[in-house]
Amino acid sequence: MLEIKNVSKAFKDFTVLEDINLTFENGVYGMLSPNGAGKTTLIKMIVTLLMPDEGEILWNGENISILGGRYREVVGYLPQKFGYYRDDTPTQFLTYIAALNGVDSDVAKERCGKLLERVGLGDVKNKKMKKFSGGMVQRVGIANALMNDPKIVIFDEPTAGLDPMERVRFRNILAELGKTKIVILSTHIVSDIENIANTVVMIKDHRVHICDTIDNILRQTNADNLESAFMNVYEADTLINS
Amino acid sequence: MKILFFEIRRYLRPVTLAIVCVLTGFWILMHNSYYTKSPYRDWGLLSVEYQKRFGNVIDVDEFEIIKQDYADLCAEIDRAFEKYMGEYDVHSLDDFRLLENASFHIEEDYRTAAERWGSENIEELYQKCLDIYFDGPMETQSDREQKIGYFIYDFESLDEAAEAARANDPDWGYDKLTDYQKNRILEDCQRHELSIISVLSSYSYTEFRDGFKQYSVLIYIICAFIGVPFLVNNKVTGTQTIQFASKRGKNILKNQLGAALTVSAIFNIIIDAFFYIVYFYNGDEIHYLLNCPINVGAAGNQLWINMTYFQYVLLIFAKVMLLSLALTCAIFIVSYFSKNYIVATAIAVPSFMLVSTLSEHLDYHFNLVFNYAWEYPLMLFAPIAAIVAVTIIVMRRTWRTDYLY
Repeated sequence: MLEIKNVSKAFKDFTVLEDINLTFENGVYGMLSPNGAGKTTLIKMIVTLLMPDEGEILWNGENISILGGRYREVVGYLPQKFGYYRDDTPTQFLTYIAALNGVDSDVAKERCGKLLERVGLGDVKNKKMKKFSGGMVQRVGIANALMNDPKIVIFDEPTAGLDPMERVRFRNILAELGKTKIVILSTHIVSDIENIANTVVMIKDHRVHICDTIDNILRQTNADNLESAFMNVYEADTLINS
Repeated sequence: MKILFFEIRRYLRPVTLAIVCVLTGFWILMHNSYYTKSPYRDWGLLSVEYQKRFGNVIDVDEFEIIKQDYADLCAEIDRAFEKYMGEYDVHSLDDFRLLENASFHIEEDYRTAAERWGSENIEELYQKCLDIYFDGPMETQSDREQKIGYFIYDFESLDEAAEAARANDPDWGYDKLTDYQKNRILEDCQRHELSIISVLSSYSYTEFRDGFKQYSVLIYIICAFIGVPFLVNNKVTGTQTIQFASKRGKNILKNQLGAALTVSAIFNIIIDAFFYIVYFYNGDEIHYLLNCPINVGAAGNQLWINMTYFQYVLLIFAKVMLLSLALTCAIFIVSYFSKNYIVATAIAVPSFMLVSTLSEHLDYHFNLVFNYAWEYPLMLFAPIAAIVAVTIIVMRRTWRTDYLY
């Protein structure tokens, strides 16, 4: 279980997140908020790229900053901007990431092949990534997030650059992962969340505004679909402010 | 170790190696002193000869033998002058020296020569002497006479210094020579272009030091720019996020620094190998000198640290290696704080120029006094530390502390 307790984060005088409390268990969680709401900041704190100013994040009751590498060992992360070495092949790059995650080289080799097949890159696994399209690179990033067989998988804008078929393939992967892992999906594409997420988190005014199932959210916001619910939650403020 | 190898592999690609080899080849082509024989090569032969005859140190009796050899040689030259120039009233080496000084208008000698041969004949006679002495029948003897003459002058300079010291202190010995006195002796020798020509000196006239000094600039250039891509590349490509979010990623800097230093050392060795092959086999061919000690020995005393020419060469290689590794480390740290290639490169360029210039300046003192006191390495590595300190102070705001926990 991943717990976020009373976490706050500010950059200089600007408060990004305030008193965030969330609990994640196995399943798919969708983070749906407008730009600048603090989704990426929260994700970065979960993957230990940033430290909370207040509060703590616990993995199975232990503070992740104390766990350190033992925690990061169980985390798979696809950042919003996935960086890679252009002169590497997917195999080389994933093997490198596996080494960074302490995965045994034989296991890494086998897992690398399977993951690349799973994301549809089996035919190009030994070609240099500088020749890849954006969607192909993104798929390498998805494979990268799963390389260490994590218990927590976090995807930040994962379907950017993917065509509809690839997007469906990705959703299937997520659905399967959600059965045995904590999957956190941060995206602007409402349909991605609507089709697979069990729980949706909406951040508003630096705090968690909603953390509930889709059905409950639709009821609460009096909406027919998640997109309307999103508009109801955020557009009311926009109309007032304008 | 696995991660270290991954990082090394990323930068030790065939293309990178090819670029280093091409740059090195181009550098060698630009400096023909590396592959042409030094005009001073034969001076080393005298050192080898005397080392074989007298060992690593010349004592007083042996010095007398050398002086006798010199006297015999001068007598032979005098006989040759008598034979070829006697008709012109030029009978000896001393007469030749007088004509030489007169042709350079040294006042007193010019007057003496003018009285003896007529001022209108000085140049002509001097030219005739030159033809006979340098290019003619006395070519071999003249060459040897110059070398031994300088050698004796070298020793007598040392003895003069010793005598002056003993005048103040009867118990004075060579071991009491101060650094200042050592420097003065050495400067005196070098001023007269002796290049410390003694039986035991060899490093200077082979021009190894000067040659390698130029070569080391290439090493510094390459090593200064090796550190730059490692971290700047991570920021540019965005891989830092993935790395820092992994189990061992927080230690990635350690591995990348290790890789940068390893690659610097490998390039250093490759470039040194190029230099060694070209300079030592095509250039001065100084292998015969490798066992010669380079310290100046006089009257049975060692003035400086006893090391062979081979050891001296190794010392220079080691110095350049350490300096280039320190420079790599410094530029690596600089690139951590910079945001892009331009800033990191802008700092790397003056850095290696500073290091190269300072190294050359300090080398002069190093050669004067083989002084392993703490001042030399401190002065040599202080500017590197300064570069790092200034960078940290100026760019500390870009340091993302969050990434380090």
